[in-house]
Amino acid sequence: MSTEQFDQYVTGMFANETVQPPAGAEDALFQRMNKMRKQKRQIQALGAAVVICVGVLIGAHVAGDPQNGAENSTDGSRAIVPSTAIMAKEKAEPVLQQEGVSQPISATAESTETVETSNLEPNATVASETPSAGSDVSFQVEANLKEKRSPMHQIDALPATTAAYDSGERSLLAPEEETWVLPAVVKVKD
Amino acid sequence: MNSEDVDLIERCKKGHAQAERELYRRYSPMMFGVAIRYSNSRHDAEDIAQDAWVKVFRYLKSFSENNSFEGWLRRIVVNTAITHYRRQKKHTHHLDIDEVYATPQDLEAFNESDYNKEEIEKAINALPKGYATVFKLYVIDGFKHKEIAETLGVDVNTSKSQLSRARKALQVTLLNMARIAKKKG
Repeated sequence: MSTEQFDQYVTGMFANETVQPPAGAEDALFQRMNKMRKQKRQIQALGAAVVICVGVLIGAHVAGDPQNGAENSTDGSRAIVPSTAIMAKEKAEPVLQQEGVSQPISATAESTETVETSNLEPNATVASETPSAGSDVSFQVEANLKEKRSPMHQIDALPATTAAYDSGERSLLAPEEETWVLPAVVKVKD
Repeated sequence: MNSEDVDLIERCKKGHAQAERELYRRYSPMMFGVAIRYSNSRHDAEDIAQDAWVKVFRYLKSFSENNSFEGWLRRIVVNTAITHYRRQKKHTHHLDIDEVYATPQDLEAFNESDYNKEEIEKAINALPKGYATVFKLYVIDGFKHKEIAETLGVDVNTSKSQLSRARKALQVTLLNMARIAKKKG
């Protein structure tokens, strides 16, 4: 018998051979498939969420770079508030005036360090005497401030910077404010 | 491939659950038959068939209608069975083919028509696993030697020599089975 005959004989025996799978095989397969697909969807959703979060973080980092660069500089200039920041803080002036600490320069100092406010009281007094448009300083607050005044605080002439401040030239005065306000030492002689 | 199969495959590619079940019912007996042939037990065959079906649905989008779908399915089952076999390989014992001895008279006396399907199946399964696999791949499932070499990770000449030895071993095994049966009878 040749090998070809033997091969053909065997091939013919097993051609189109089918065996019925067990009854539960179909359900088991599709349950497994569903589970796998569910896991795949969850992984895809998680991946998409991670990508979005990373994108948002990168976007926020890129957008926040100019401000962060100024505030986080490590060369010792962090304590110096830029003039634009001072101008922004000065916008809170009306609120502070109602509380009796109405001097804009002292308001800037107060926002940075509360301890300095006691040293800046003379300037606050000067500012309270300065008429400002739209300010509603109550009479009671005014009276309390007058009681606290010592004779050395009563000055006739306003500092040039304050006058200029009232005239609306704030942007030009910003560097000067930084130089003489932040040390917060004011001496007034009789 | 008939138009009904093409339509069914297209619907499966689009993710229709009902079409997937229909495809499974149509081809699972053939797939399970192949799985049983390449496995040691029915339980192993169930595992192999299920793994193969998972692969079928996962890679169905890459199947081209120009090819034979049944051949593609058969190849997936065989590859899955061989992967399964390799995992269990270290636990199996292989007989050296040289242990099988057949005289020319034995081979001359061999007549294939003396044996039915069950006897031949039993004789194939009695062969060393490697030879049985090559024999089944080439003779029953129609693989070429090049394909067998790729599937099993062996040389083409190795595939050819193993097939030759497997044939002889199978004939001897069948003759021995016939002799034992005669003695009993």
